[in-house]
Amino acid sequence: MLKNYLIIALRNIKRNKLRSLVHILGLSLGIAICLLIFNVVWHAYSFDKFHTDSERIFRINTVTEWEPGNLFQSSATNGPLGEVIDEEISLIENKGRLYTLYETMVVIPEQNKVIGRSNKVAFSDPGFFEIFQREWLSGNPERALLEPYSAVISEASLKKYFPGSNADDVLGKEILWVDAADSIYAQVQGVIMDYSENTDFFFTDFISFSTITKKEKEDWYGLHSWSNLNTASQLFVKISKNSSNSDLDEGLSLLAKKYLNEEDSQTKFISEPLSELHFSENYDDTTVSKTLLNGLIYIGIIILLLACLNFINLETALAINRAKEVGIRKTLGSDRGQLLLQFLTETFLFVLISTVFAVFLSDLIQIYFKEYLPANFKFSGISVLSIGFLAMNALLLTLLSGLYPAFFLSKYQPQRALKGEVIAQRGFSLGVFLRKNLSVLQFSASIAFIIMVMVLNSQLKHIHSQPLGFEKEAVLYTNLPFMGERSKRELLAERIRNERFVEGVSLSNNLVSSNSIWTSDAYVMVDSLEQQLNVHVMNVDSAFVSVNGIPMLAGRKSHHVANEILVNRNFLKAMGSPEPSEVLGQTIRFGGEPNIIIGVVENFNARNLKEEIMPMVLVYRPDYYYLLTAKISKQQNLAYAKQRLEAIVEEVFPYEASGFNFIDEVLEGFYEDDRKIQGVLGFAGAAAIIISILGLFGLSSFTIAQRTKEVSIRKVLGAGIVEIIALVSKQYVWLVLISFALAAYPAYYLSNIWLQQYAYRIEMPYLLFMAVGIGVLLLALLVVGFHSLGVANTNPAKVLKSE
Amino acid sequence: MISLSNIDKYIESRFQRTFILKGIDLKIEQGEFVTLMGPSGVGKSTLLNIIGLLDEDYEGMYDFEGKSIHAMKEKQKSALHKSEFGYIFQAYHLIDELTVYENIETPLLYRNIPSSQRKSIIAELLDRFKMVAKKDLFPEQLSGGQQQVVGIARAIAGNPRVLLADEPTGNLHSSQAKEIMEVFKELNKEGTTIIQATHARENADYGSRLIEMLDGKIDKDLAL
Repeated sequence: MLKNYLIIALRNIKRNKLRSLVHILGLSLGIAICLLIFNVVWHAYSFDKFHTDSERIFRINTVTEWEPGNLFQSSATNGPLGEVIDEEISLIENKGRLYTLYETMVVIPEQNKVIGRSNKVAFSDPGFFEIFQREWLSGNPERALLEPYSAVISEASLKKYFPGSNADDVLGKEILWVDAADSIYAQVQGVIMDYSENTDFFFTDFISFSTITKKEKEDWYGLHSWSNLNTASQLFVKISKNSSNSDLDEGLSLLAKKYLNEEDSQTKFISEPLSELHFSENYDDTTVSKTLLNGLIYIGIIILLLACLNFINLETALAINRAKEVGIRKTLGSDRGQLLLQFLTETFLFVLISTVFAVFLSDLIQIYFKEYLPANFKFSGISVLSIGFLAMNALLLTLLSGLYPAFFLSKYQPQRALKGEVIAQRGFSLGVFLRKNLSVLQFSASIAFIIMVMVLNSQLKHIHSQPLGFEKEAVLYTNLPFMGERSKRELLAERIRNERFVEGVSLSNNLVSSNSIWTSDAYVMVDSLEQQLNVHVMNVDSAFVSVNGIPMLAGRKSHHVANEILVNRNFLKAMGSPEPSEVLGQTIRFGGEPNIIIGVVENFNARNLKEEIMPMVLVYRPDYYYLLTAKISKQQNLAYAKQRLEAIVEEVFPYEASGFNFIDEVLEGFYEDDRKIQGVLGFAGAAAIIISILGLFGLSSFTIAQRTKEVSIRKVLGAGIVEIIALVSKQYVWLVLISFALAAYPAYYLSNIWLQQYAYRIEMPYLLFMAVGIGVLLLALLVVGFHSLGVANTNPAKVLKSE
Repeated sequence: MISLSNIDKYIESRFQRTFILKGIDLKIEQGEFVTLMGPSGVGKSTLLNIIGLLDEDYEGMYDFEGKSIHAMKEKQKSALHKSEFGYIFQAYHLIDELTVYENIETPLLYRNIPSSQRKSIIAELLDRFKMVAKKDLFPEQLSGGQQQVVGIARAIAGNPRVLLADEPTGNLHSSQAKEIMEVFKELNKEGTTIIQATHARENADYGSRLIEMLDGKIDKDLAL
């Protein structure tokens, strides 16, 4: 029986090529997109699932209400909390402390070997390894991280630091880790295996936490007080069985009451499940936004539904062609269930063929989106995971798209079906109603997607055309060691300044525009009243203004004197807009000391364009400089300049690997997420319109062919080709218009949410909405016109004779 | 075997009832070869459909072997339909996507007959109707007469006791029609009850009983 079903399904697929093409193209596109999205979502949720009792592991977060209603949540915890938490809260089985380091220099003193800088170094206590269990290649898990100046390295580090050595051989060996100004010599006390599964705990070098809880180091690492918060300081706990998240939070709030004084009362501690870590703050800026993931899931579902709708639509429209077969089979003894099964088998076959195509297609799409995907994301359309998904998906899809047409077809009455009496339905017909509305839904989704992409496009274009208040062309920067030697830094600056193609060099603590921000309070006298201003602080040298091409409104550049300060135009605005020259010489209290305004600069966008320009002060604190910015002359070949500058840096700082980058790349980086959204939506929009147009192509070819007789009669009665095309196309104009009406508001609503995050944004481009609507209408008419022209051109004599 | 009493079938429009069948009383015994005759639209096909359980939208009593059709459940009706009736149509109504062999096989599939038995039944039928060489052809590759022969083979494959034929020769020229009628006669001789609707008088001569219909009623009932 099944063989018979399959045979007839295959022959039908071969026979009606247009129908098969529409179905397989649409379905495989939908399945491919879903397969990819499923893998991406699965990957994002796969992090740190493998730890023993992972559902009992929590990270402690700190929430501060720094302004009423304005909460700041951070994964950081202060030092003292890490000391007392397990004593105060009894349901905590284990605590694990972690203190992450940034760009730590690794040196093997014994061999005089400099390994280079690493972000995979952290301080941790033995509890950390009790919570996050490891396989130990050597050393004693309980004792290895107990004493100060002991360390545990992973197998990856072992191979890198001591090539050829066994895990047992390196016990007791000394490694030097240089964190900015602190040099730590520690002995290897254990070697552990690296995790093989997806994890955010990628650290390879662990130094005992007791090394930094010593009195003289606590200050430097910021672990001394209840009020000091440092993102590097992380605290994990594992709670006992039978206790819950809320028990832990309750304990934490009691603890906060006990230890925090009045002033800190806006601060509280909450627990964050380990499973959330990959979505909130992890250690290499690869967190995934759940909103984005959900957006992807919605897009996947919408595209797949569109493909299903195509299927349902076309199958019900083509049902008349199958009516005769249904009639015959019923007279031969088939019952309705067997017919249902037959049509579902046919649907399943379509889904199966499409699934095979989808595996190839998803690989192509994946290549297109390569840069959007996480670095360790490996995609295969034929992995166990993918095949499992595809199998489930195939079943679901078969039911979703096959059930309605199958019911529709199998309910035909045989004696009527055999006479061809199936079209004659009077009054309301669910089939026709559904068919029209499904097409409307498809076009609505396509139009909405396209409008959103267009709005994103224009906003991003708008951003690129905005003047930023500084020059971004031919400006390069590099990172220098943080808290390194000042003289060495200045020597390097001097050497670069002497290159003939360099127009200026500036040392600073921040780039002219970046994602980082230092805000502080400044106090200034306005009308003999001291006024407090929240200001954006830039710590830069005197060359900064000219190197970045920022116009001066009044005064002069600094002379490298600590209490001289520059302000921007918005600072004056906050003071009540005095003339720039009037404020020169005025005193600002900042950082507890009086500073004198010696110059005023024009406003410039030191952050991305989602934010307004804040009142700004430019101060001189040369000890913290770690960025070097160089302006290259316009005629110079930039690639050469970059190479030459990197060579100079390598001479002065032989162990620093960081090269030179262009400022405009930093600026591009601000909107990377938005460009990803644009790319994904663009793709979704393209897929949606392809599927919809494909559906319309199949559907109209069929419905228009049905009107051949009517058209012929009209031609005989004297209708011209244009009139006939207009007649046949009219209903499709309505279809697109209704779809547009349905799509406009959701598209407006969603793109408006997105636009609102920009301080510098375009007006909602209503004309663009219209343009998209008209574009889709034209596209639809083109497709329909293609078919209607065919009908309009048939010879009426021939058609009417055969009737 | 088949007993119809007072069968009415009508179409209701807003102001009037149009009767297609009115007050049909008819008994048909096993082994009869009945011909329903009359002009187009007189209700022959409708009566055939009612007898063959394809149309349930009528009033009156229908007993099959003494059992009332109305009292039967859907499942029993379906079983009766499968085991007792075979259909032959004027337009042959073969499934275009299936070969001759597969077309004949289809009713056997719906009767859950095992594969080996199916093969022997089909082989026998192909042999009997001299279609062995054509078993892998599709309907569109056959002449009208050949298609109708396949239609008959398919109708009797399930070994029904009653064969219902609606204008079986309507689309055929006279020599082909003759062949088909010979086949019917032979089947009747073997014991199959045949009820055919036709408006060709010469076809009635092959049968044992002629029922002439007029305006939805039985006009004459003659034994031949």
